[in-house]
Amino acid sequence: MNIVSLFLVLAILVGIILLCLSDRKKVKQFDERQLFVRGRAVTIAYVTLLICLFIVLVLSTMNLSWLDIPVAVILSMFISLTVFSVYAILNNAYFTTMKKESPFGGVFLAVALLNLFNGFRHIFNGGEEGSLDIILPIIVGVLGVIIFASLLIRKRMDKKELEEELREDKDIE
Amino acid sequence: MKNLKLKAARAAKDLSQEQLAQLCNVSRQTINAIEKGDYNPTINLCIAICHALDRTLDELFWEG
Repeated sequence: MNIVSLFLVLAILVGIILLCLSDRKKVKQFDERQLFVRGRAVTIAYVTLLICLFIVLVLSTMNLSWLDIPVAVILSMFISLTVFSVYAILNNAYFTTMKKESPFGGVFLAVALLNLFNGFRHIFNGGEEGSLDIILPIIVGVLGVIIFASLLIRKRMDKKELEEELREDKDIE
Repeated sequence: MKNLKLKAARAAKDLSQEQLAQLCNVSRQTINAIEKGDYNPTINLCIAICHALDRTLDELFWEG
């Protein structure tokens, strides 16, 4: 079993375990606007995935030496997932209504930095392990940083909204 | 279009967006989006808001 197959099997297993462990009631904690936004986010992510896979398909017909198809497909999936996450975060539909603060912000940053470190370590070591070992951690790292950045932007937007609310409430009074 | 009636009714009850959101079981951002006119709530949420603010649908959501 090569590393790509192992990665996919592990990812599927982790997904199944998380699904089994998750509290089904939490799904209901998204309000109607959040469900609407998440639906739109899924559509946008799906279209992004289709576009990425189409680009991979076109590139694969050109017999490019640097193109690693499994890496490109996994990369497409990560990009699609990031598009969903960023859209949902910026429209405040990523976390349930019960969670006022984003508890995973630090985790996103830690995973991103670890992956970036791992990717650059492979580059500085000469990158002999193959493209998958170099490209994937860096891509995951960059996407993790993007998600973390969108969390920070959302936090700032929330702060502005609260200040605006207080100001407008005072005006009404 | 901003829903100033909702904002005024909420302020009259001395409730913050967060408090009204908790009463209606939605996120603060959803109340904010309704007040700003960025989101059209379903009739169920409109009714929940009316119950929370002791107002009628006409008073809060009818543009007459």
